[in-house]
Amino acid sequence: MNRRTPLLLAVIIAVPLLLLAWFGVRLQLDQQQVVAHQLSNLATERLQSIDAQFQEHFFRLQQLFIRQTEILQQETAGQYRVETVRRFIQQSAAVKQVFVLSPSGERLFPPSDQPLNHQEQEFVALTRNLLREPERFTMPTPDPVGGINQRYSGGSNDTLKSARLSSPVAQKNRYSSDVAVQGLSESAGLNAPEPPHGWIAWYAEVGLQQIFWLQDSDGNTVGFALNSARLLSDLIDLLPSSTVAGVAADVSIAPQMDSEIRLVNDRGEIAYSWGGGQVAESGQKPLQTVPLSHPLASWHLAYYTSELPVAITGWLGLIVLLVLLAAGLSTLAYLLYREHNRELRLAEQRVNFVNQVSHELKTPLTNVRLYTEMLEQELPEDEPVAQRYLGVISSEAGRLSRLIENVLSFSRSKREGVSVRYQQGVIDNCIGQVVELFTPVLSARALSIRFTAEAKQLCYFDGEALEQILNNLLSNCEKYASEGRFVDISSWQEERSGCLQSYIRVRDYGPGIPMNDADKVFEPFYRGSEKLTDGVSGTGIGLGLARDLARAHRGDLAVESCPSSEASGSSFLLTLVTPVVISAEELDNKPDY
Amino acid sequence: MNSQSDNYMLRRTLQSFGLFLLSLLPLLAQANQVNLNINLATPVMEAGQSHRAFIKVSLEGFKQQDKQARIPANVAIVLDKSGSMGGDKIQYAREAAIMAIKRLDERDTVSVVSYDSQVQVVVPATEVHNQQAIYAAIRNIQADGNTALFAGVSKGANELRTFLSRNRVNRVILLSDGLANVGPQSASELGELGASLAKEGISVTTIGLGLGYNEDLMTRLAGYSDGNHAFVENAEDLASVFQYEFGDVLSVVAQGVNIEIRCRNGVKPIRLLGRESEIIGDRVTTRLNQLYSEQEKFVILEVEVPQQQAETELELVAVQVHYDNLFTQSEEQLSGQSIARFSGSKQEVKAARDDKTLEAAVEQVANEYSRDAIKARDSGDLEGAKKILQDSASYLGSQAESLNSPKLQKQEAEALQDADSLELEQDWNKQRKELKARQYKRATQQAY
Repeated sequence: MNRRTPLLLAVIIAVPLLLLAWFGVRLQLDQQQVVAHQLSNLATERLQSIDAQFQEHFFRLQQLFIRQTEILQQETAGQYRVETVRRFIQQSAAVKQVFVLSPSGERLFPPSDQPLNHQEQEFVALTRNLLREPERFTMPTPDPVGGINQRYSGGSNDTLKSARLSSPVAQKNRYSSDVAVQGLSESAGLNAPEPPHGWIAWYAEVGLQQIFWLQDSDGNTVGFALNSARLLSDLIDLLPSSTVAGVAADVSIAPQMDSEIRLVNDRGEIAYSWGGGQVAESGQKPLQTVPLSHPLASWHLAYYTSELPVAITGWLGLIVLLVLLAAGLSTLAYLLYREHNRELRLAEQRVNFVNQVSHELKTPLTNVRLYTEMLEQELPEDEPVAQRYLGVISSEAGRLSRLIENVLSFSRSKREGVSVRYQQGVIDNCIGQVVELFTPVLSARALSIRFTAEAKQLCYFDGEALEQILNNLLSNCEKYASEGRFVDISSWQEERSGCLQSYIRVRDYGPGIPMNDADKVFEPFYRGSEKLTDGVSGTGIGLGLARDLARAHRGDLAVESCPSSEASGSSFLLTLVTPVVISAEELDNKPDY
Repeated sequence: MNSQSDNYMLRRTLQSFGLFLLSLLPLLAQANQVNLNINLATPVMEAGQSHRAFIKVSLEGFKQQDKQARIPANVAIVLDKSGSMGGDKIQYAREAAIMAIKRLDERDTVSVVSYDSQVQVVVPATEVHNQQAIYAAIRNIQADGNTALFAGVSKGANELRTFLSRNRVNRVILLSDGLANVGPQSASELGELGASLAKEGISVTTIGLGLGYNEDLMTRLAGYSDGNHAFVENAEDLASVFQYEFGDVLSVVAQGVNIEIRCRNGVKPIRLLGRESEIIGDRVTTRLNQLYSEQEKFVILEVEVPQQQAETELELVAVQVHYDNLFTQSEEQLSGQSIARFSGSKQEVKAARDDKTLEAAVEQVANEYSRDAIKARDSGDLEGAKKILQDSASYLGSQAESLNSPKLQKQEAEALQDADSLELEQDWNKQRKELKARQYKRATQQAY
């Protein structure tokens, strides 16, 4: 009992804590997932907006080139004179080289009939294959797929164009939002039908190179090869720079500080990165990556972020909650435990007190009984009144002595357990003694005992224990079943699994015991219903002690269900293992009862 | 212009023409005009055989008449603040930048960009009003991280664009002490960027600090955009280099100089020494981003002259120069030609020799040798490189003797010393940077 209580209290503390912890952790994880999802959505949106910015840059370039082609065409009357084009290249920062193909596929620029400069030679060598097949550039505009994208890895021509074709609204927005920036081409772009054009991205020299081509009104194909370093530089300029460490203690910038975005080129190298400083270690995986649209396909943007700070505070809250709860529950448990201990101590003191009182009573009672017996023997036969009185004294003293014996046995059993001392004898004889002892008591209550004795075999058993059990059963009959007239005691013996078992049934015809109380009557200090126990004295330990004794004797004491024919009365069946032969050890081992 | 020079010009104008009002403008320009000189190293050539001839086309910026009347500068200082700049270096760099900015005033605009793995715009493009705020921002720069050089230059150039104007000196000043390791990092890519920026009128000056930077990349970036380049071994010297650089920036008088040389009469261009150029057929073009006050910049063109009869004259080249005069804020044009005479007399040939021009030509030719030597050394041909330098030295020696030029003698000594130091493996890194910087200065006639 003493050890079970703290265990129980621990469980009381642990169960809600564990439950709460489990729910809390799950909630946190869910929350984290939601946050991570939102963050990744946010990241995707941000990266896509950057991609859109890039697309806008290409679109602006495209408008610029379309316009410039018109100017070139007008200036040179469709001839694309070498000097004019060269001067254009010299002045145009974004363009590395220009080529012009005639409708028949001949190269007008760089000129095939004039000496070329170094750059032009390099360009011609680089694009020899590209320019040899001019039909690539005569592809009709409304055909978004096909043509170039099969021939060049990553060089899908459709992305920018098909986007424009499929969403005219978006394009209109683009026009209107960019009026200021690209006023130069607005009228041309809106009113005149756009000439066939497209972007080509192909791998040359050190990386991805972009060419914008279009057909002028004479059917010439004009191509602008971008200066790729300049393109990257322009894209970098579109992107924000990082905040200056130290100066940027501003709170409003704080959310930006813990994320980093990287622009990664086709070789997987970082071309540019911005955002928070020491966010991404070398091995970290990006939260989100978004490939860029054509003509920068094969490049991508990667969004890196540090550990989610929101989640940390969430976990902290959960832990604080759990700790507080644990503290509260522990305090409560401790208080309960202390209270419980005090009660236990009090109960123990009470038991001790009763025990001592019983001991003190035992000695004078023995003397009373001794002298009563002596007086019974000495008293002449002709004094019936005195004889009767003496009988009453004797039986009441006996009862008192049994009661004390019960109390002492009970406290002993609690202290040291019940032990059994085997002695050879006959069960029936033992029962007979008890019946004889109880006959006058019971007859005083108008009860008579009907004893059916069929356990005559010589065997080993603890006579004292048996007597005590029967004493308890019979005194219960006396107390509670006095209206029943009879008390039936029957005994028999059976050989079972190689061992002799003795059975004793004690049956009365009193009010009986309800079946749902059948087990409780054995509990210490339990007393049956008010109705039954009203006005009857009792300690409430008798049956429990009896059963303990029976179990120590490897048997049992149980309430039997009432036979259906007779409505009232209770029946106890005592089972004892009573071996015919017993080993010397078993005899010797338990001599101290 | 002050009234005195007005009067002076008024008199001259009245002398030359009657129409004062009409002629005032071009004559104002005359006073503030760039000088074009075309010199042939051998104005008289031996008849009856073909020749290789050197033609020096030199431009000299006019004097800034008034220090107050200078051209406004639009400068972006791009500072490397990668981890390797830690300690003294970054401190010297900060102080050098601050000292340099002190020379600017309200007319000028400045921006400061720093970069490590990422790029920070420390001072966005601003007019130089509140200098203390700029200094405070610069003093906040701390060294850490990698080297995103390309992005740094990009952002610096982008800051310049806020105030970009043909009437300002637009310049990015890049300081780096390490290899670019974030973003593009090859010399060719940075060269492309430089070429593109030059088209906008932005030049990039590159200052290499210490022994860790990539001198090819830095000279290429400077070369394509016609900025200056300097190798600074000790951070203590940064301040003086910044001072020189700002001195240059504040003395620019003309920008966007295009030189076009046309070879006539069957003369064939072979190479243009020193600068990046474009040779198409008989036409040679090159470009200088700016001319500085009272500084001579020149190119040497080597041509092959077909054989001629004696006592004839031949026009070899015609030169045309376009530039933006920053004082008159107009585009101006200069032209000239070079005529050679052919003679049978060797004495005449010798007597007519233009020693100064030849000296400059020899200097540039030797400079080309020096470049070849580095290429050979890079490809592992140590002996070849040494031989090139020794040949260069003996060439310099013989020419120095015949021209009686101490300058060439000094260069000869340098070449010999370089040839020796080629072999020292541990010093090569430093040597190469010094050589590259020296070659660059020779080729571009850099003032410091």
